[in-house]
Amino acid sequence: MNPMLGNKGLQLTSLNTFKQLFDDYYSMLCLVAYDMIKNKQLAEEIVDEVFINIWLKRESIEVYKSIRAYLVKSVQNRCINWLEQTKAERLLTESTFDIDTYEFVKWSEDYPLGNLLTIELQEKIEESIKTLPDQCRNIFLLSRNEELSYEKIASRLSISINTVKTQMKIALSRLRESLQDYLPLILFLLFR
Amino acid sequence: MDIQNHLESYNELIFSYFNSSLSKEDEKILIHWLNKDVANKNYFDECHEVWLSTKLKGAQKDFDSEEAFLRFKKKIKRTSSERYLLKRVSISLGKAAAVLLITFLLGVLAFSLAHKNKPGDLTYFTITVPGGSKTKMSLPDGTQVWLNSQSKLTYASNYNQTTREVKLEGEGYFKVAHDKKRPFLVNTSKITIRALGTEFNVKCYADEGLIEATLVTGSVKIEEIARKSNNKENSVILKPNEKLVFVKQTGKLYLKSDSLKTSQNQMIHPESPAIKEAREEKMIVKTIDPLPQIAWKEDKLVFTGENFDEIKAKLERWYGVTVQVSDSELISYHFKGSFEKETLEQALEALTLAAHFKYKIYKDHVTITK
Repeated sequence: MNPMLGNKGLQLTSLNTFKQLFDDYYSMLCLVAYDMIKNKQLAEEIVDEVFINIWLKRESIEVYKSIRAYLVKSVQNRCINWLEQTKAERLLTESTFDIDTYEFVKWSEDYPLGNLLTIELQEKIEESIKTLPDQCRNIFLLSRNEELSYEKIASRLSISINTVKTQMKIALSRLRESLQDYLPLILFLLFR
Repeated sequence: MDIQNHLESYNELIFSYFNSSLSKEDEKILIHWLNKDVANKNYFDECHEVWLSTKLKGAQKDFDSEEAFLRFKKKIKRTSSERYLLKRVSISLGKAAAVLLITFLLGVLAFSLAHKNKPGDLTYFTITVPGGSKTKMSLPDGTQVWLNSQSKLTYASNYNQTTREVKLEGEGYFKVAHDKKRPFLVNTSKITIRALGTEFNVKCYADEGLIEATLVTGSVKIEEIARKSNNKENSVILKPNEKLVFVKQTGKLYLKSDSLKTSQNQMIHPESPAIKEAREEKMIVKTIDPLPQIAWKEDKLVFTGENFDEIKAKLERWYGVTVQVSDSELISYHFKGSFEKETLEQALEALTLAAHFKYKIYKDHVTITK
């Protein structure tokens, strides 16, 4: 386990600590931001700002429990602020943008961020993807790597949209199953 | 249907949502379902994490943490506290210079006693932007600041306790977070701009004879610092789209703010008649279009009819170069135009189309001849 996730307040004073934070969480945080605002450069700017802000406040900040949860929350809050601020202009320019839903992308307060979003687990995740049935995996990879819409995937593979949807659904179930060990145990506890 | 199956029956909607392929109707169904039960939202979060985790490997390529850390180090290098600076100074001086250091520290102490009410406890944060670059930052209260090149912003650790005070050298655009109880103050060498929650631009380069403040929204009060201590307060309240110009070097100091308000719709220009008047009056307010004033913040270099001297100063800051103009006749040329992503060479090339001059770029130095 990462030593910085201990229960004591994190010491954020040294540059080495920050180097470690960048190594461990930078890509993940950018991904979280990108997922919300769909703009890579802006996602990086937002994450950069979060780190600078923590550095400036490093002597007054106290992080209990998990620095990761703190970082994710800071990034998500900033993204939501940005989405709020630019709401009006984006409603004019982006027909697909929906103002009601972005709040849902934010993790709920009582959802403990699991362990999946760590670099160490990437091998395991890639393996899980490899074990998907061929067609299922192809569809999944097109959706993930090329960010193609279901329609485009369907037309590229000459299959129906419904097949794409079904296969994506199967992919998610399978992946959840094989990564079950690393997910938080909420569901299990709630429904026992 | 058991709970697990119930949850999984929503997989299709959930995944479509992550993939931005969800129809409006389905989106409503999903939102309704998410609001119904916290367990549903938790399941959604869990699926979200699985989905994101499969993209993390790609994200490591897209978002380079090594590079980001270098950016970070570069940025915080400019953000050193006074305390930190003292430590570094003492290390580099060595034993032989200890006496000097003590003298220096006494000097610092005397200085801080003379200039602060509470010496010792305050730590200062300084953000310095070198020539040729710009930066955007957030202050502890959420106020956003854009700093133009060759600018410096300082604030103390007691920022946001009773007031929100910053010191600016150079040019900055402030989007002040609203807080009625704690006024936001920008101190420049000669004037203070006081705001509660508003957006404005301040330009106060040490090597320029004017200080300019342009208000975009809200309201700000501008006070002359020297006058404040003479307890004859000299202040002006700006309305949106107004710009105040303060002339640093003035012989006479009489000023009535009301009589200074004019509403001519033209740019302030140091050589224009308006400013020649202002040299005697010190503060002058004009109604202007604020957009060209704050274009730099959107990465646009805009000329609105400035003469070559000012353009030279703008180019030097924008590109972080020195410009030498060898023909005095060129100084009288005026330019209008806007540049967005042009390189120095492209910008100069465009300017040569408007006026006939030649230029040479050698490293960080530009020579302009007729």
